[in-house]
This record gives sequence, C-alpha cells and structure tokens, in this order.
Amino acid sequence: MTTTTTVEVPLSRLAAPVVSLERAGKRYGHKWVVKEISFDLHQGQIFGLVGPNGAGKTTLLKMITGLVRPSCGTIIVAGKTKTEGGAEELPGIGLVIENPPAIDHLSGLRNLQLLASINNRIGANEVTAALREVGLNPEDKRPVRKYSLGMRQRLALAQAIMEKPRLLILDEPTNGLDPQGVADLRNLLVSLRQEGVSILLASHLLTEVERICDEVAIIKNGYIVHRVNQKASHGCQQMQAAIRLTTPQDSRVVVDMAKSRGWVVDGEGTDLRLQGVIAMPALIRDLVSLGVSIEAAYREESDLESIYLREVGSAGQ
Amino acid sequence: MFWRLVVSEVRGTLFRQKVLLTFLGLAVMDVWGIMTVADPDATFPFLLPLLLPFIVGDSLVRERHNSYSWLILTRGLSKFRYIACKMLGGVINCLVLTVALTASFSLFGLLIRGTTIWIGSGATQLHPNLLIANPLLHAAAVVALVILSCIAVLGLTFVASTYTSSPYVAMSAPLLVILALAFFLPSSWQWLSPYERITFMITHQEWVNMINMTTYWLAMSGILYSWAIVKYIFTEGV
Repeated sequence: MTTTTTVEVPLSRLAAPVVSLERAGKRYGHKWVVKEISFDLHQGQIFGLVGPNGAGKTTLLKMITGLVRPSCGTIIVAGKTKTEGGAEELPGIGLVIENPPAIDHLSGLRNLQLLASINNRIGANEVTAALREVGLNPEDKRPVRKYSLGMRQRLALAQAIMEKPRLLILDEPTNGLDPQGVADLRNLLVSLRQEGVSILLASHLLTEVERICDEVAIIKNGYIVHRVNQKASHGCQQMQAAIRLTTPQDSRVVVDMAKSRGWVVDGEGTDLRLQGVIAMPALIRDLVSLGVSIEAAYREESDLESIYLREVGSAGQ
Repeated sequence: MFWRLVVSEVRGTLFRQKVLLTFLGLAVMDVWGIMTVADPDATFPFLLPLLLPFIVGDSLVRERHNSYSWLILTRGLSKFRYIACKMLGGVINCLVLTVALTASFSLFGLLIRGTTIWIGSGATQLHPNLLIANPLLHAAAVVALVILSCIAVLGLTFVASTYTSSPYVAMSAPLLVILALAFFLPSSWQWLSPYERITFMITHQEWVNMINMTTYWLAMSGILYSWAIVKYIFTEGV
C-alpha cells in the first residue's frame, strides 16, 4: 500500500511567475547597488520589499520596469527577459512612485485622461471609476498643485490601477495617507490580489507589509538579508529559537538535528538561530539527550519588525 | 499615442502661467518701445530665442526630475519617441510663440501708430538692403530667423537637459552659454558665426551681435539635437 502526500498549491502558482529575478544585480562604477537578488512573484501574490533608505529598493524596481539595465543576472517580467536598458512595452504594469509626480496645472481627471490616452485602452468611464475607487471626486476641477500629499498619493494609485494591470509595482504607496487612507489601500490591495493581480510593494510601514504580504524580503546594502514567508509563518506557527552553546564543537550536532527536522539554521560557533515549527521544551530536552551543553536557549520574537530590526541592525557589520 | 503626447506637450507648455507671463512681458516691452516687426529696431528677434530656455527649457528635465517620465515610459513609449515628442513639441512651441508675438506686434503697431506692412517696389530688385527696405520681406525674414534661432537654442537646452536633473540648471545653462559667447568670443573666432551676413541683411542695429549668437547655434543645431537624443537614450534611468 502506498501513501500519497497531497500538497495544496494554488493553481496560479503552477503557472510561470509574473516576475522572476535570478541573481540580478546592478553596479554603478565599482559600487554594487543591488546584488544577487532572486525571487519569484506569482499571479495573485503580494511580495513585500522592506529596507532602510538607500538599500536599493527603488533601483530594483527600476530594473524590473526596464529603466535600468541589470549588470548581472536575469530578470523576467511577464515572460520577457529584461537584459536591455531603456523602456520597452510591459503590458499591464501599474506603477506608483515615491513622491507621486503629476502635471500640476491639470486636474486629477485630466492627468489620468492624459496618461490613459498613451495606450488608449480604456475610456472615460474607467478613468472616473478609478478615481472613485481611491476616494477622489472626478468632478473636482482643482489643479493637482492644490492637492494634499494624501490626495496626490490617491491619484497616483488611481493612475496605477485604472488600466487593470496584471502587475502592480508600488513604491511607498502609503506616504502621506491618513489612517483611513492606509486602511482603504490595504482593502484595495487585498481585493486586487483576489482578482489575480500580482503586487510588488516597497514600504516602510512594517505592520501593513506584514498584514497583507504573502512574502517579504528585507533588503540592506543591495542584498536580501532575510526572507519571511508570511503564509508559512502564520499557518504553521513558525518561531525562531536562539541557542547559545557552551562549546562550538556541539554546533555540528545542533545543525544536523535541525536539518533532519527541516528547520532553517543561522549563525555559527556557539550562537545559533533555528527557524521552523519548534517547541522549546522538546528542543531543550532533545539537545540535552544528545549530549549538547547549552548555556542559554530562548524564543525570539518572529514578527516582521523584530526580524527587521535584528537584520538591519546586524547585516553589513 | 505619439501625437496625443505632442499635443499635450504643446498645450501643457503654452498654457502655463510662466509662459503666458513671459509672453505678456515681451509684448509689453515691444509695444512700449517698438511698434512693428517691420521696424529694424525690433527687439524680439533676439529676446525670444534668449528667453525660450526659460519658457520651455525645463520640459524634459522636470519630468525626469520628478520621475513622471517613468510613468510614461512604462506605458510603452520608447525613449526615442519620448524625447522626439518633447523636441517636436518644443519646435511647435517656437512656431506658435513667434507667430503669436508677430501677430500681436503687428496688431498693436496698427492700432497705436497706424503702421501698415506694404510691398514696396524694391521687392523686385536684388539689393543688399532688400530685406530692410521692404517691410514685408523684412518681417518675414525676421520671423523665419527667430523661429530657426529658437529651434537652435532649444537644441542647446535639450543637451543641457540630458546632463542635469535640475530644471533650473537646464533653463539657465543655454542662456549663460549664449551670453558668454556673445560677450567673450575672441575676434579671431568670429568666423564661427556663418550667419552673420544673413542677420546684417535684416538689421544694422547694435544688438546684431546678440542675434548672431542665437543664429550661431543654427550651424550646430543638427549636432545638438542628435547629441541630446543619443545621450538620453544611452543614459540609464528616466
């Protein structure tokens, strides 16, 4: 009798990823701004990018949109390999840029109509519907220069979603939004995900990223220093355990045990971190029974903010 | 797609407050001092080309600076078509501004001084002073030269725009270059102004050196535009 294990994978995940990066990097002169970045963004997935200012997030987004040529690696967007610089047609990409630009002397509606006229794929109804969806009044005749930062941000969102893109790239979309605006944005992104839109979200609002993203990458100095699979950590009660051993010789035993149980091991010498479905009492008991001498063992916070502060504080050192 | 953007570029530039104020300032200055373009004392032939960088010079660099061009380029417009759209829009702006100023000068001249443009008998004679002696031909020559000068100076502006991310630098660099050459060009380099003879056919006034410097760039406008296009296309980013 054979046993079959069924792994539930959403149908959308079986298709080719909408965005796929394989060891992509960008160098200006001798300085690597982005290096060895690899991830896949599937249909209907929200992928978060967090990191300090200057970490390379915007350069990475420019590489994905084709405005910056990768110095190494491969970037595939919607089935097209992007090895050349310069813009090329990327069907169905919506983009929100930090400090959203607009033509200041035109109204919000005229701004969107102008951008929509480039591809001429949608009509006036879709443009006004997009404005209403983000909470702006299409009848508002005021020029954009009289808009508040929050209104400009909403306008940027409207221009990004008005053409029903398959891929949304959002760089700090919550800038200037009030709490109601942040909540509206969250609901909007979740509903777009349900419609099958893939979303790449760069933000400093860790709580929002943690709430809505399926996967999060923490970037520092151009590298992905940590990845958090939100779905896995929420669904399987993942946790992180920190162990300090008395002697570094015991680390081999700990690593072998962790690997046999499918945990992720980080660190070296006497200080190790284990990530996975771990029960602390059982872990300590098992290690003692294997003859490992433990100086300290404790559970670490595994929320995104704790991980971010730990990684951003320690990476690069 | 391309033509819609060109129209938007022209409308977006011409209906900006800054442009309208500059236009009004030019018109007031010329109405006050000179009445018609047929007058050899007219100042606008060199003022408009010199002011053009301030009027439309930040068009490209402003959109690059605030990343608006990123939104446009990700909608499928190539970099070549984008800068071509900007250049064509700029050229149309030159035409519109010159024609509008000419019309306003002529109208004001007619209303205030009763000056009319006439076709003299000299039109049929080839004479070194033909363009000055015949007001209609003179007006047409001035307008043509101003348009060409504007287009040439705009080329200089586009080159500056591809080297800076500051709208203010892009706007002021061409003016500084023109004025610096107008005042400090050594006499041994005067042969670099191949259009000097043309401008002398239009006017003998003292400011001729200024218009020489704008027309001077005509000789290089092809190089300037090509330079700006190549530089922009091969520069990474927006």
